[in-house]
Amino acid sequence: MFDSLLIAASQLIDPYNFFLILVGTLVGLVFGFLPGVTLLTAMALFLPFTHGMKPIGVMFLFSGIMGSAPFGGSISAILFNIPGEPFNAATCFDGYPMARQGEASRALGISAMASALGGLIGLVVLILLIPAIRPILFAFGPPEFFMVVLFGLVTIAVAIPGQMLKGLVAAGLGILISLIGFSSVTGVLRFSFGSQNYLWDGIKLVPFFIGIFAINEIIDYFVHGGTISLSGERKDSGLTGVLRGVRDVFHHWYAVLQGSVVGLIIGILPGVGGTVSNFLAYSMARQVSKDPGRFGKGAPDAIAAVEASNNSKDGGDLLPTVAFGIPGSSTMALLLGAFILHGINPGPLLVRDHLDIVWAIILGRLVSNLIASAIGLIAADFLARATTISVMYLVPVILTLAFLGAYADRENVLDIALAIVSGVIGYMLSRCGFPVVTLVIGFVLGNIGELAFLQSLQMSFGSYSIFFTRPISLLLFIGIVVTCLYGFYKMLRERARKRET
Amino acid sequence: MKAHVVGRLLFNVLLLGFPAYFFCDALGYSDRARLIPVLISVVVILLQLTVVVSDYLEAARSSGEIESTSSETPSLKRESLQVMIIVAWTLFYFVAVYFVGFLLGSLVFFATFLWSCARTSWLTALGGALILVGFVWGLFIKILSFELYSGVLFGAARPLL
Amino acid sequence: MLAKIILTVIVALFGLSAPPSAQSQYPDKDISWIVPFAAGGGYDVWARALGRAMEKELPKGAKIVVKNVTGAGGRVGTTQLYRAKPDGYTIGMVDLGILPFQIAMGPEKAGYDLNRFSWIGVFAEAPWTIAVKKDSPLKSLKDVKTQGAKLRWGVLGPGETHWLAAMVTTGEMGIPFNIVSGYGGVSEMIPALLRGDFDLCPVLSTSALEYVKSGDLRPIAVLDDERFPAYPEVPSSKEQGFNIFSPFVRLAAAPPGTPPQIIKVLEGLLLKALKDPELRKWADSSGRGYEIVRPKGADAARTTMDEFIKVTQKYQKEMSAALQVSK
Repeated sequence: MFDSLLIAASQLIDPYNFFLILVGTLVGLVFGFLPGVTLLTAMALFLPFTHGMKPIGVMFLFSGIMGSAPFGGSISAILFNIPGEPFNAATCFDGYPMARQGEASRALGISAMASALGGLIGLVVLILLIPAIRPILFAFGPPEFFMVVLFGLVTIAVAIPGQMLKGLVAAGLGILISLIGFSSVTGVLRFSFGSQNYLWDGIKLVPFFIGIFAINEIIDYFVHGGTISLSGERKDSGLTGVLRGVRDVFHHWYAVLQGSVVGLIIGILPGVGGTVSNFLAYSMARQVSKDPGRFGKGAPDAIAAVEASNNSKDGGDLLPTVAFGIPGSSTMALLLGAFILHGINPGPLLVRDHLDIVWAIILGRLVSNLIASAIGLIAADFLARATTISVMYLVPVILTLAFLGAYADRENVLDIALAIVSGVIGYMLSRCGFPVVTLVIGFVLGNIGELAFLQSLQMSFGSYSIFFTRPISLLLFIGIVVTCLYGFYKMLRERARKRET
Repeated sequence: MKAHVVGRLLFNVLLLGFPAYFFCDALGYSDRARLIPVLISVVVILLQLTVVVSDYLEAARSSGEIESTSSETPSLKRESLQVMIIVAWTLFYFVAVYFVGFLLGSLVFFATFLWSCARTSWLTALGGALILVGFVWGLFIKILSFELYSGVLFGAARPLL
Repeated sequence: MLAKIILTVIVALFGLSAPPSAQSQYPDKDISWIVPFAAGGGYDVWARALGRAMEKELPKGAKIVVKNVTGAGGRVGTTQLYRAKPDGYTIGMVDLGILPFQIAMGPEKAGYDLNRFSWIGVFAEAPWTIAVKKDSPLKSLKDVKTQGAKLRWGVLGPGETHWLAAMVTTGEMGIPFNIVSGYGGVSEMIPALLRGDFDLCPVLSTSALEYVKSGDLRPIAVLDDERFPAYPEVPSSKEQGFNIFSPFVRLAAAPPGTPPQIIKVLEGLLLKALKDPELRKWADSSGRGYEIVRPKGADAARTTMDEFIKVTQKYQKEMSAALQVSK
């Protein structure tokens, strides 16, 4: 095993390969930053360019893109409240308020540092887990998965005491929206308003997110004018802000660790991936935080946990690939497609026959992650200046990029219309007190949760006992019940305390 | 009654329509296909009814108060106007893209927006537009051979509904 | 007089060299190849590899540009191909999994008619394999028939190719068809089989290869008349006494109404590309070599399609029941 690591490492030092990683890193940063133009699109667009390259070079290029995209995306999340990639959504929740308070450099610093640490932890744990992958992957079937989703939904509900009612309504609406489309479990086309083609695949994530985040925000910018930074100034220009962010990450090391673990575990579950993990990391960090009230207003541990999970999930999605040659996410699927194009057949024997390629992916990601964070730390100060530009200049730029991103997802101009509609509805909802957080979480978890639920019933020929006879599923269910009870208990205690004062 | 409280109430009532539609539609599907939608939509309807009731109570309560400052109402009117303006701009941009394509549409939108809302001179507006669109063109069309929408007038495929 | 002669000569010259129809100049620019699925997937890598091989025969500079147009299980891309200009500059792949939708809705509402495409050829073909996980008690189709109602079949979803194969199989064997579906792709389905979510599933012989080699998957039958060369010890369905016709073919097509001369050129390009040594090398190293065993041209493609449509029509009732997509 280690000689293939050495082979990969020696290839890394080769100037041409290193150049490929650098190119990949820059591409990942840029495409990660551009909202809606996902890193999957970026990789697909670069696929033709790889013709003629050696497989290991291709891996370095693509892993470069994959390693830096999360941080690229968090830049636009922090500065503009628009996630550059869908999995950067939770970064907006606290990164953006921090920018509004004039502390954009600090937020970027937290992001860069936590990203680097999360990526490192993710990859280290990945390497340690390689021998035990199969049992881990086999333990999570549809019933367990459904329980995980349920757990995610419950932690959300319990986590927003202030607006619980509206939060739950928003979550429910999100779930309903996610159910639009053809369900391949039941063979039924549902809630498509008569559309046979456009809504067949449902409301797609990217245009919806662009609407809910970018267009919603643009409406808000336009109405309120001014600059992103509420005071019009930056409190922490220069290096001090960035360094403060770095210190925050080490101060909240627990949040970083927890975020990394959540990211890794969710990353392992095939098909789910990053979008879910960052929300889960967010709500779990809130539960254990010493200052939960700060969440949503610029809590540093929120940002740290989310950023760490974003990067560690990449470690997770490599596991099914290493175990079976099966992609753990759509970006991995593209990577494996690139393998096939270059004559390597991925499969369970990938580890045996091409371990050096696997190491190349791991190392490439690691290096790109670190380089991206380094660039981030250096450039944070310059980037943060965007918060002092009048929004009237930013609105057309962001709107153009938003349209581009919405279109680029599947080259369908109607997706732009979808984004607009989502944006307007999102604006109205948040203006009337419905939290966008829960809406988005409901949307992300809704249909995959239902899918897992119905698949479980198919497996058991319709019997509900399957959820309680499988050990892990039962365990998770008990965990959910306990969390609920604890949440109620805390709520009652809060009420009692309020009444006393 | 304070305008924004009434507005909120109205919105919340209208919002009920959404889960109601899902509920009615779901009843027509097969067993398994309607299980979760019916469950969720019923819960949402119940919760939202609670929201409506509490909003109504708040509205009733606030109408009993003295009309404190009338600064709320003009602000709401102003806000609604601003929202409608920006939405109109967005739709204008979409229509432009739909008919003349992404590059041309973006050029038109960007330049006119900068000129009218950011109050720049038409020269700066056009310049800025050219730079941004140039960047998009260079990256996507030249380097990546990624076809951007060319607009219905220029022969783009009509999107399928 | 001289002027008249010159004029006549000129007219004659022009008459002789009058440009015939476009075929002699075709193709003279880039050809678009629509792949109705995502980049990196099975159809996509084939399109890219084939495209490169076909480019060698094109005049200098003309390329084959792959366009991924995804959505609705391949229907969005196929519909786009169906509506494209039949000038030979847009071709594409058609996946048979979209047939049930056409049968259920009728070609009018579906937006395409598989009967009317101008078929170019079958460039890849592979039989289905019925596979189980390594320690499954099922050893042959006989066991499958005995266990019948207790078995769960893994498929991607109603209407797609795995579902079709499984439905035809259970139909021919006369056993109930219980499915576990909803997987996003074969790469999600195979771990599910190994995990025990269901008991058996149809899987493309070439896709299953790596897993059979590693010992994770055990094929119990090949749905064909002959055995599959990569694992010749596995008996075919015919040998086991069942007559199951459910081919998997990768078809290349052009929009309806493409002139036959252009189709001839494309067919020639395709068949020549399939013999290209570089393509062969790629196919063999990536496990797809088995798919090129019997490449077929346009007429053979037409026949395959017709046979397939006939067989599938037999199950029209089941299909309409399973696919509740019309109101």
